Amino acid sequence: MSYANPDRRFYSVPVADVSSIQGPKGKEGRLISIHVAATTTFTAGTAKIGTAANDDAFASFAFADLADTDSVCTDDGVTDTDAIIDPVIPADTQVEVTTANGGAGAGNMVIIIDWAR
Amino acid sequence: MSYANPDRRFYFFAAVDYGAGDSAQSIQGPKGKAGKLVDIHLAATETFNSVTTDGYTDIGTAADPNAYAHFVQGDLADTDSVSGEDGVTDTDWLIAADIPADTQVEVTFVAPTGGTPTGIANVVIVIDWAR
Repeated sequence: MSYANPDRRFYSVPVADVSSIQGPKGKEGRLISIHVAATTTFTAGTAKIGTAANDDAFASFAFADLADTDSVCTDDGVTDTDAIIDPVIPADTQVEVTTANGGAGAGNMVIIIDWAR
Repeated sequence: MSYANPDRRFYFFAAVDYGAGDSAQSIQGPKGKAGKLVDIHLAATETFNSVTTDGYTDIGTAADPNAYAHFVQGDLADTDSVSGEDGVTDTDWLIAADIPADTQVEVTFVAPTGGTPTGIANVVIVIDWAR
């Protein structure tokens, strides 16, 4: 397994949707970052990345009261510095994405995963 | 600072409705890394018109909305696409590629004017980050 030259992929998911990610066959993933750009203010926004059995197995990103037009990411060093729980995603396992806004929040989310054999 | 092997990230802004009026979003880079703006791409899902003035996208700061880029996509037809690097659409779109570390990047989507403005697109902005 080498992440020296990974197969980096970007997954665009509207916040407030339930979605999922299917990686390339036989490749293990490493969750790199989650970016949220708000289009409507959040009052208690969260994004969880996990499995069907454990919805935050890989990450639980609490971006809280994110104002309209503002943005955050899991590695901005400020917002939720322990959002990544376990970056390693097993091969051939559907990644489940769930979000909650605690109000009227909405926005665009990008999830970055490096895949490698 | 080395961009030899940068942390390249793509930021997706889905179904931006330029025709409905001006709107804004933003980008937050990884802590401690400066950015280099690489490209912007628009794929239209509704034709852009410009009866009086074109719509455009500014990338900058709160104090200077087009500090990094001012991209004018012109009369873009539904299902067509353009980018900052296509060499045709707006060849001087990039004003200053360098983005300071730990500074929110402001993205402003500005509507065409005159008549009945229209235009919806999926927008992708590409930035290389490095220490």
